Amino acid sequence: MVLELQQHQYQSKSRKSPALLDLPDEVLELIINQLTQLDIVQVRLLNSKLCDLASRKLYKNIYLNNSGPRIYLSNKLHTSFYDNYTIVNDKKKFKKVIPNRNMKYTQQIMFRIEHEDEIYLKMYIVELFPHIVIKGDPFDEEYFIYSDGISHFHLPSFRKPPQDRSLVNRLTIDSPLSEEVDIISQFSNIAKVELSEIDNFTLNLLSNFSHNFCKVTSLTISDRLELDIKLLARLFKLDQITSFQLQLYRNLGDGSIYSDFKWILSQMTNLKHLVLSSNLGLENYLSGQLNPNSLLSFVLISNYGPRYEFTLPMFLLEQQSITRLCFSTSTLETSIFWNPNRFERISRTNGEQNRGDKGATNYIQNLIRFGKCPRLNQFIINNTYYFVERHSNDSIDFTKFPE
Amino acid sequence: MSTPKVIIISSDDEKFPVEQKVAEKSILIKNMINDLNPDGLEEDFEIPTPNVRSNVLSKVLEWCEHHKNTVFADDEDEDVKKSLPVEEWDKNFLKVDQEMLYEIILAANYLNIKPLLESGCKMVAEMIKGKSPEELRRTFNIVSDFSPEEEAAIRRENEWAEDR
Repeated sequence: MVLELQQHQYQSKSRKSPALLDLPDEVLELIINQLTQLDIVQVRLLNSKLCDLASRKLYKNIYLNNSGPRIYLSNKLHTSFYDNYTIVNDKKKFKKVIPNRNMKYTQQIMFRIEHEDEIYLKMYIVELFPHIVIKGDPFDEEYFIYSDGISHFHLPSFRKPPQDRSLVNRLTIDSPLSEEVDIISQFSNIAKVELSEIDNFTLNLLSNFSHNFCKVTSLTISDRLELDIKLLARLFKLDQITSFQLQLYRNLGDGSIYSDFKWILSQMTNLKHLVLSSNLGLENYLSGQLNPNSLLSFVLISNYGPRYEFTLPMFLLEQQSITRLCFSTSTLETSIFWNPNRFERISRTNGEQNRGDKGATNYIQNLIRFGKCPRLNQFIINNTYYFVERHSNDSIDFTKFPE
Repeated sequence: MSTPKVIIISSDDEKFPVEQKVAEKSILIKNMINDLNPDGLEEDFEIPTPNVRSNVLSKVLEWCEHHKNTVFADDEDEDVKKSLPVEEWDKNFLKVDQEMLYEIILAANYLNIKPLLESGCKMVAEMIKGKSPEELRRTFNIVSDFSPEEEAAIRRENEWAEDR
């Protein structure tokens, strides 16, 4: 003990022993990058140097949890998502701190869902800090497309399009006034179109602008009216659509919707992503329409009563290329069993209720435990995320968020 | 003739002869060897490390020796690597007093030994986790340079990020 002490004294005489603050900034940043946001806020209180370094990390990537369940924070969380993003559960508290000089360190702000309330917040941020990239939810961006406040234009419009019209690449048309649609002729770079509650009259009006739609690759239709979906072929080049989202909720007319649906799918020869949400049982008409092994992701939200037990598994067998799957209650659950090893993402949603969540969770966890889904690193059951942790000794743990 | 060795000399002039493979865990040394011996090592090669003292250098070389056959993941897997806990051997190896830990981190940074630098940083991060500012100031001997008003302002600003 005495000896050690002497040695220590000798050392400190010959050269000062380093302390935490003697580490160079880049090393301190490496250390701070290992911390969760709850520890980083404490480090900001220590002194001005650490405050600045910690703010760089805290403000770098921000996730605004502006809807849905609260994301519980704990010092123990360590997944790449929590490592990369500072999570904000209360956007009011966030609004209080902007503008803020630390936002010069901000690279991106991600919104959980897009909501009109947020448009002004987004525009405000974009105006003050044009370097910040604004994005949608990382978990959903494959299926849904998000607005950055500039490139996305709405009809009916509640704000002006940007000076440079070529910046607009996404158009939402939601039962517009007929005199409004002329503005479409000013856009030449539209890649994504969402049509909502459009009647056949408006659809005919829109077909005057088909050359403004010639670059469209992503198409979303939501409809409760009697829309003749075959008319879509006059507006869009169906063979260049890679992403198609169809939400159809209405009473059955003469039944021609089934043959029209099949026809339109067969025209989409380059389709990669399909979202189908309906109460008409359209899912039973999927089989045989698309090129085999062409689809990469598939979302099915269906509350169709009667089921045809064999058509969905058949469809999944035709489309072995699907690696990302999202489905509503029980519609696809049993079909996962058909060749489960390809899946990289599985999520299940059934809206309001949690009925069957537990069974589905167990089912997927068992598939993973038995090594049937080696590429699946997370799955989502009704907004609860399960991260799969595979250990070197072959044991598997599931971490659940929110806990 | 025996295989040539790399002889690393500490700031206090102690010589550490090691296998080339061990020395090349340091990217700084590896580049130096390659730059100065484009045809490979033909004789013993001396490298001075004026920033690293012998007690630290021997510790760092112990790590290099242990990991001489370890293949470390590429930088591309940054995300995965970051979320992994410190490997058990490194953890025990780095159970040293704070000063030594910082010396090792400084040496790993200077010699460019990324996996060691990362393990070291993770160990320091572990010491930070879950502590209050007061505990942190005590642990790391940090004197605040904020006025009470400044500190209160930072506390207020923190609120947006600590809403569990």
